[in-house]
Order: sequence, then C-alpha cells, then structure tokens
Amino acid sequence: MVEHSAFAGAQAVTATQGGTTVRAIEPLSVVSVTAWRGQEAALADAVRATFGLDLPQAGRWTAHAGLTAIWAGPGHWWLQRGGRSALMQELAALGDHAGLIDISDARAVLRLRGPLARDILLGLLPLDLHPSVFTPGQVASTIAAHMTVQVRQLDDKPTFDLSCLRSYAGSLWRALELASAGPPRLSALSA
Amino acid sequence: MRIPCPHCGERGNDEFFYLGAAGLTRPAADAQPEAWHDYVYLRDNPAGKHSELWQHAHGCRRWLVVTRDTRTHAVFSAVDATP
Ligand SMILES: [Zn+2]
Repeated sequence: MVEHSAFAGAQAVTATQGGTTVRAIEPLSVVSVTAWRGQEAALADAVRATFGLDLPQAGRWTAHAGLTAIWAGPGHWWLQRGGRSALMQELAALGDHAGLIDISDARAVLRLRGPLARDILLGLLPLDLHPSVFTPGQVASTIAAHMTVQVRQLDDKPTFDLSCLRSYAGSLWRALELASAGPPRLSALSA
Repeated sequence: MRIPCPHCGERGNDEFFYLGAAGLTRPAADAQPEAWHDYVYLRDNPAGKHSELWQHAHGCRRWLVVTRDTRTHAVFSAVDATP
C-alpha cells in the first residue's frame, strides 16, 4: 500500500515563519476507545496494567513508552502511536471494557512549534491559550474555521498538535496560513 | 452566548448544536393525535428561564440540558442530559 500525505495538496508539508514551523505528523495509528457503561474503572485498570499508562482526566493527555492517551469526552479516549503499527491488535484485550475503532485513516495532524505558535492559534481557535490557562498536558476539542479540531499542547516551546478529519486537512492548512498572516497578538501585548 | 460545559469548561455557543426544549414527555404510542400534535409542534416560548437541549458537537459530543434566560442569555446551569 502506498501512503499519501493528507496534506499533499498543500504548497509544502513543512513551512517556517519567524522560527515557528508547521509540519504534518503522519502516518499515525489512532484508536478510539469508549468505555462500556460502568466499565471506566476496569478500563483504566487494564490500560495501567498492560501499558503502564494512566488514562488522563478531562481535558488532559498522558503518554508512556510511545503510547499516547488523549481525553476525547466522558469515558472516551484516543490511544495513539507514531507510524503505522498494529495498534488495534495491541489494544484488543481492552475490548472487554470498551468499544475500539481504528480511526487512523480518518485523522490528519499538523504540529505547530515555535515562538509564534500561540499567536498564530489565537487567530484560529476560540480558546483562551494564555500560558496561565492552557499548558502542556492539556487538550481541547473546539472549532477552527468551522471545522472540529482537537488541539493538544506538547511543551513550552510551545508546541501544539492540531488534529482534524483527514478530508479537512487542506482546509486546516489554509486556515493556518491565513492565521499566520495576521499580526502577532499575545506576544505584542505582553512585550 | 457562552455555555459552561460540565466536561470542557466555558465555550462559545458556536461549538454547540441546538435541539430545542428539554423535558418534553413523549406520549404513549396509542395516545390521541392531539397529544402527538402537541408533542411534535407546540412549544412554550418563555421570556425568561428556559431549559433546552444543546449538544457540545465540536467538543466532548455530550448532550446537555442548558437552563438560560432567553432575554439576557445568562446561563443558570448546564448538566448532562443523560447520566
Ligand atoms: Zn463539552
């Protein structure tokens, strides 16, 4: 099978402005994990026992040994690994406690990193991203130019991962381009 | 209008889908047509406190019952529609 970039239509898969870069994170393996009713604690125990990973609380994400768990709603998480992996088989035992759906091919992820990353996102997302409010370890699902987008802060550089439906990848890229063209906001205010 | 999602925190209402009045009681299957007409078509239109169904469609995807003042958009409460 030949892998095609979800962002193949974009002018470049990597772009840089003021030391801030955006690049596609692909391929990824992503599985949606939804606890059966009353099985949340058993699911959390199974994930901890099998993968040494604590399922995150609301609005947060956790990672251990290359496996990332992202909160996606009450009783609902995405488990994610970089690259193409047999993640469904790896997680199969969790099927006793949760519904598992392979959504790897349904998602596209852009990673925005550098000093202007927060300023660019301020022009795109209706969220308070001030460092006193939104910090590494947090995740939020919101809208960007009418698209549902999951935004996750990885570190203080700052680095953010934006995940959208794969068919919106080109639109998200364009929306980021437009947001990047706007004036820096937060850093100008705090300077 | 901003809605305090119990799972995601306060968000703009454009992250939500609106359904309509909460707490409608579905008539029995053999109820009179008048009862079904009332259930399907007739709504109160209060100027003031009103409970409605909103789905946090772009967020956690939960259905919420949001109680707000229709005159001011002040939100009194937002709770899960189902436990
Ligand atoms: Zn929510």
